[in-house]
Amino acid sequence: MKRTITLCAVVLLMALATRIDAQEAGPRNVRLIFQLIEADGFPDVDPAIEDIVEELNGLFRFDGYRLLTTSILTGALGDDADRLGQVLSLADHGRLQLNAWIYPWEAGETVRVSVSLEDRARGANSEILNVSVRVRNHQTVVLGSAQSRSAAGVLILAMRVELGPTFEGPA
Amino acid sequence: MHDFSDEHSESPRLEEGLADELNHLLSNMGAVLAERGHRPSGRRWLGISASLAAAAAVGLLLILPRNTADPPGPRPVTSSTARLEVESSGRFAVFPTNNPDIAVVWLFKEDQ
Repeated sequence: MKRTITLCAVVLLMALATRIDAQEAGPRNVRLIFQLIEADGFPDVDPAIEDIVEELNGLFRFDGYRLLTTSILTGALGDDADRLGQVLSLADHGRLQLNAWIYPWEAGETVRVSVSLEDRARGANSEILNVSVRVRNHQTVVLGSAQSRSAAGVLILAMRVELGPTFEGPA
Repeated sequence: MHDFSDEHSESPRLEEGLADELNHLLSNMGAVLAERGHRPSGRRWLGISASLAAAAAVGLLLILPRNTADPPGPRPVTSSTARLEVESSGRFAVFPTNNPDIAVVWLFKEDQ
């Protein structure tokens, strides 16, 4: 009987340890790192977007790119879609509304994210881009649109996804 | 008898001890059951039932995968060259690049 009690105690301790493990893992969070890039007329390469520019140079005929701003949004992979948003104030492009929806986790090291970029000053045609992509961890998706061409140039939005157990806030 | 100590290598000492304990308990149970004509008392049956429940629980804990940071569910095979899934109300093109960590999506105007 004494052995049985000891065994039961061990079982309880193991179960408790397993629960603590699960709690320490916490919910999976998502960090979206956005880089708003302007195309054309920038021969100097910004080191912050060097790897992206290298790929864009192989695809498009724009004369260089420059980084306008970086925005980091952090959300949770919960049961419902997590909506994130930020207003980007730019000297040459005015105020742009950046929205992102992070959808609940389904499988693997990927996450589905919807992204929209709007220029409210444009009125009815405010939408610059609106797309939903499934992105894997550490992948960068470069989003461009013919709608993004304005007097100030062509806007390109790069989004890098980082999945992690916890992100307290912007890095 | 299944050797539980082969299942995991995270805490071999503890698991060896548990395996020994289980062996011992199950041996005792076998001996008790082998004694024909001697019905075990209610208290003894209680001990045997508790042992069985404990053994089943330990077995489950050892066999089932431990919780990790990953959410539950199937884990599909992923590769760096996996095609990007894109949804948009308009037309678009996906350009793979030489960098497996970078993909380019270009959205077209409706009249393009």
